Amino acid sequence: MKISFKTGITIIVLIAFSFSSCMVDSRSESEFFAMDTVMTITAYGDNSESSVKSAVEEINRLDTLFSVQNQNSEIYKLNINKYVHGSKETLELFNCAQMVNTMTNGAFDVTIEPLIREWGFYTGLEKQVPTQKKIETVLDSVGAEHIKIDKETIVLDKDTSVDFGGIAKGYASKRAAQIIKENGTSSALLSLGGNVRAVGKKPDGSEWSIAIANPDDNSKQAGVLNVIDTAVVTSGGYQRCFKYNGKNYHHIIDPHTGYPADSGLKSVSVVSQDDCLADALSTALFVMGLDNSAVLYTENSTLFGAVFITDENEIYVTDNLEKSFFSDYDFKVIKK
Amino acid sequence: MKNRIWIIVFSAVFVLCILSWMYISNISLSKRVVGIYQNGCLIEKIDLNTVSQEREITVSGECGKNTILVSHEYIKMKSAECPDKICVKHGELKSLNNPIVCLPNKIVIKFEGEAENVDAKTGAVK
Amino acid sequence: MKLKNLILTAILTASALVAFAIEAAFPPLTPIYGVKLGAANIFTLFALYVLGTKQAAAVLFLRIILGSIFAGQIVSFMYSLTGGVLSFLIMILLKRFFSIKKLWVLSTLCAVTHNIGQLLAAVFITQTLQIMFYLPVLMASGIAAGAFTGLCAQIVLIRFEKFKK
Repeated sequence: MKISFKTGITIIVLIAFSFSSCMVDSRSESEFFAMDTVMTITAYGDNSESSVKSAVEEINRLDTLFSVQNQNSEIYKLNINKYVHGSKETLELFNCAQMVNTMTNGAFDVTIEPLIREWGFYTGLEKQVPTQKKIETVLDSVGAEHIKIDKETIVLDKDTSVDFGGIAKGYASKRAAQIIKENGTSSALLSLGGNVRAVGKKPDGSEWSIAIANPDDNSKQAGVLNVIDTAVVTSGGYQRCFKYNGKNYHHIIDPHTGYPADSGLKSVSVVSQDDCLADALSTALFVMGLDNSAVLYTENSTLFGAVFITDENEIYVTDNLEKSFFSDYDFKVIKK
Repeated sequence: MKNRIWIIVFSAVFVLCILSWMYISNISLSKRVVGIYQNGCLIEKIDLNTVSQEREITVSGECGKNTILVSHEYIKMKSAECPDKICVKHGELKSLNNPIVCLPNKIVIKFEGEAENVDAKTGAVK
Repeated sequence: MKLKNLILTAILTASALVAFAIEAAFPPLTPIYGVKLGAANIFTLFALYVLGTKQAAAVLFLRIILGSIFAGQIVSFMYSLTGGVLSFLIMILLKRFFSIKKLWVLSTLCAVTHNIGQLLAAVFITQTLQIMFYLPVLMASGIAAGAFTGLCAQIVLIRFEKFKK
């Protein structure tokens, strides 16, 4: 049987294609702006394109639902009217916030909104140091006891307002990760303005490497965490701050004192299966400081792990992360 | 018999290549991304490999202006208005461990040594 | 072209593609572009000795073209093609001097030529001579990878010859 050279080549191409069609490794990526920050979602493999698309849509939807400044958001309405008939998402968000609030004895608190406003950490406001008296007055309306949830209605006390800045991104990444999985995509990486969420393993089957920024020089890293299917969230006092009379003031306010938390930590990174928990806890642990956080860890070591960087640049790692944390620097391990 | 000769030849070339590579990589600039910092804040990040035309960057601080010269081959402090001019005397930026520093204006010019071998980063200011 | 040969060529091309894809799925050994095993080469060598020059050319160039389409990078196609053409020329020119038992030598020479070709393409495309700094490391990696893939092809071919008898 004789076949011409041209036909031969064509047939070879066709057969080769069919033999190797399994090797197409599709990848889809989107970079967009939501919740006041830059987000990137990268998905690999099956349905990656539709996964990314629906995840972005979901995050944008949640953004309009939770934003403090968007007049159509449920949270905005709640802060104005002091009550709202909460959607499923808002109620879930509240529950998660209240859970972390109880767990951390109020170190994480969504009623901190009036304090953040006083300090001017909202876009468009002048950053300033409020007077001691002003802070004391505002502190009266801060605290979980000023929120009441009756079935699906959320009610706030008269002077109380809420801000989900410390947890909304976590909730968004949780939902986005769920949607990506529901779409049949088993490998993806989400970075919602520094909140990292790994879905499954890397396309080649290995663990994701997530760097923790060096608080003194963000272009460098303090260490790397190798993770599978978890959220990694970092809170640091260096992220948003201003200088006044030679003193540095950062954006993580301690709900107990009304002042930026001064707990001896430069940053806290929390690793958890639950994005919401990771997001809220990173703020809470930063406020609580190393010693209190270590106590909390011994009681909840199945729920989360954490990496602490202190003001003295010492690194502490909880023992459930000991084997997955790598750093050029020495680090100490917090035992259960 | 002949196999052995080939093995020797290849091994010799191999070793020679590795040795010359080690030599070259010590003097050559394999890391070519430079960061200019002031007060610890990144002002500009430049990949020298992508600089086709020589240009100047001016950074001003409490102690007057500094002029940085960037080209494909090097980056250096061209002039400074501060009294000691240590940064100008430093010359071209050569080593990873020896950044150009202007203390009066708190400017640091250094190679970005980090190998970006990670998938994502948490906690960096965007 | 005989049908049997045609199908064998197609299978070899597909296998080379798969080898190429598997290799591409692993994270790079070094940050230097071009330092890699080149396992797909085993199939080109096999085709060269079992089927002939034309078929080997088909396996090599179709693999490069299809591989680049899958990887989706025109630039990498240019590099691969330059390296591929050069190494293939060396391969067919020198083939007569090397029996199957010396296949690994031929493979090593080809791999080194391939890497030099790639580097030249890179210098040409980026218009930066400094890239030649990578020459020694690419030559060294070519020697190691070429010897290894050549040895693989050699072992397979010797078994194949015995099998045919």
